[in-house]
Amino acid sequence: MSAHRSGRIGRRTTEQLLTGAPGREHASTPLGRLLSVASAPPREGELAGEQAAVTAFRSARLADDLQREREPMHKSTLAKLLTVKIAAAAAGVLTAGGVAVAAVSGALPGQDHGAGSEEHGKPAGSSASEHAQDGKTNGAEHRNDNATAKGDEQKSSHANSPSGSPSPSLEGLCNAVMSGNKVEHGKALENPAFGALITAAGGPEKVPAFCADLLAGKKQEPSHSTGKPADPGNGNGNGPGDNGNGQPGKTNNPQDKGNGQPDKGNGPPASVPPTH
Amino acid sequence: MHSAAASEDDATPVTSTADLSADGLADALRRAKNGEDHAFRLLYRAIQPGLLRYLRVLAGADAEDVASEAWLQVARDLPSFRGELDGFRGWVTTIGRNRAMDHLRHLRRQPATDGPLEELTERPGSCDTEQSVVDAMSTDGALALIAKLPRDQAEAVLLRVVVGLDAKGAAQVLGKRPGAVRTAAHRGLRKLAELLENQRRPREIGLE
Repeated sequence: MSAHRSGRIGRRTTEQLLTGAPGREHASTPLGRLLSVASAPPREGELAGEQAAVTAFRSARLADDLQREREPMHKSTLAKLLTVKIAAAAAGVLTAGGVAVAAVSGALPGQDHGAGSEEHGKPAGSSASEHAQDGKTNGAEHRNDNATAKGDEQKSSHANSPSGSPSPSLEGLCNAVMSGNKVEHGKALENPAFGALITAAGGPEKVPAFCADLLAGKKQEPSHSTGKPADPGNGNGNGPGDNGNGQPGKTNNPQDKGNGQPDKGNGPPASVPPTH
Repeated sequence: MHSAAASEDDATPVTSTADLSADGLADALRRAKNGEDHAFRLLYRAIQPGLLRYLRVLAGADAEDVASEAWLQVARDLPSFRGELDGFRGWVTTIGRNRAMDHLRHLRRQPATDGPLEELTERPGSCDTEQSVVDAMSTDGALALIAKLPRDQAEAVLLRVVVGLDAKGAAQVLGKRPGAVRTAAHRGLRKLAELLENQRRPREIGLE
């Protein structure tokens, strides 16, 4: 009887037996019984190592905590401090520099970000931009949230520069816009990365003229760029990059920006506080 | 060791199954990842018995030590684990299996059937009838019989039945394809049925 049965174990029966849910006729077979005994509830001796395992778990977590405290302490504290200082610096420059600055470059805090955001995370971004918005009482109203929210420490290092000259990154944005064909201009300008540029120009339709002036002016008056701070590499480096392929979408992908390297973001501003 | 375990076969389960429902365990896994001791304890209770039985067949009397090593590693590496409960069960089992293989290598034994497996399988066969009745009714007796299978079949059956993995999870532990594990388990069950018949006195060994 059982010999017959065992010979007839099919795949389905196998699966039922293996999952511990055999049909009634198989549950009572020697095989079904064997499997259920093999997977019987735990016995006392089988859990003898419980306390040791839990203790190991506890000490592992303690070790983790210790290491966590030791390691990023510097970074995070430093980042917070810098964020505050940068925010203050940005706000201070905006209010102090006031209309003169705004008149030339429109929205200093925002203008860099289009380029800067590509490389930098937002460690200082949110609070800096809050201050920036407070301080911004000029005609930069319709600079969009993206523009301000993306600010980073680069912005403030530019902002600290006492210049009335447009930042290199604004030129980079111009280059990016002007390099494409007309259709692409329109599309490019929909891109939040160009919010600062649009703001500076006074409207999307004025961007081409603004950029023409800007780029021409730069050629005529290279000496005017007193404000070029110690980090021209950022603005310039990014600008031509955009320019080259005419795909601004690359620069302003919010995801890319959000993932920016915080470490990097924390680095440069170390040079900022002294200037203010 | 084995006799001690066998004598405890009928001991009442020490865990409350209420704590060990699938949902409860999934929750415990989340909380353990947040560092909660008690949640880790629940996971241990849920997984250790099956793991230990599996390791018995791999590492024989050293199974307890191997399991302890495995849990140390689990405790340490839990923060790096990504996945849900099923994956966790498989992850722990994989660690246990690796530790068992290391252990066997350390003993300079082949991790094949000629080592601990026989150690375990000899027991019921060498006992007198009365003893074999007790053993065969016990979990250890059942494991001993499973241990008589070729190792790939024994592992497939144990991972499915005792550890509680599905075919895919078992395949991951073994580094094989699910299809291969299904086949091995299927053959293992057939073989087990044969072994049971060959006892010829199924009533006497208490499995009928």
